[in-house]
Amino acid sequence: MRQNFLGVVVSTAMQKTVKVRVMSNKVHPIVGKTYKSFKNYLAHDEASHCKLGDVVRIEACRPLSARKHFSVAEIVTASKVFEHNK
Amino acid sequence: MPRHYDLCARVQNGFRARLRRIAVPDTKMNLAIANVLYKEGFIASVNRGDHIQPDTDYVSTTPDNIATRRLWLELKYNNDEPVLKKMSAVSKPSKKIVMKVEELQSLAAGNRAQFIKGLQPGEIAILTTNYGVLELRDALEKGAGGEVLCRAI
Repeated sequence: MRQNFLGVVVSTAMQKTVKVRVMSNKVHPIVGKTYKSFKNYLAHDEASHCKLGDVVRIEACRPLSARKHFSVAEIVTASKVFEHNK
Repeated sequence: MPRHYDLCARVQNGFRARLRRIAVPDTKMNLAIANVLYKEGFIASVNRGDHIQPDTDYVSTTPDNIATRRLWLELKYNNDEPVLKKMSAVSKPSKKIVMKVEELQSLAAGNRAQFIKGLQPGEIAILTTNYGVLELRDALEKGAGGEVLCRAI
């Protein structure tokens, strides 16, 4: 079973690559308070069909470049696109 | 939306000011905590009512009167001394406290758990569990842990 994460796409400015922000709950070792911690992963997106703000599931795979070892498995929720009339 | 520490402050201040009864916001959580306080004998009664006085007959809550709905808690005094001396929140927004059954057992025994002092004689702790809002010993009977909301002595 490969490592899977759920995250939001924060950058699509790279070719066939998206930057996904993944959240995890951590506990401070001394104070004991739970806080949210975020980490950005670069994920491979072959057809470039991820848009900014999509919620995606990324899966671990072999290294595809210097910082890429995840690929987009599925788009869980597509981002809403609002059309406005000027 | 008022949280449980708002109720703690209102109840403690009401007792210190020797009020006969206090009006708190009418929410499900406030009602649940007030029920636990009533069962443990810290307050005399829990009534729903207006912002002026408790209801004598049943009045349904509608969007018209929801702004004036309150819960009226009748406070208890024994020989001119308040029955409830202190009520404080345990789980706060700055640090939420969720406890397992083992930690609750050590609290009930009077020992520390997760930097929370153990219960003294006559002290109760109110926590929210999967079975609803319960007092600590009731939660231990059911074998349930949960978020420890407040403690009252």
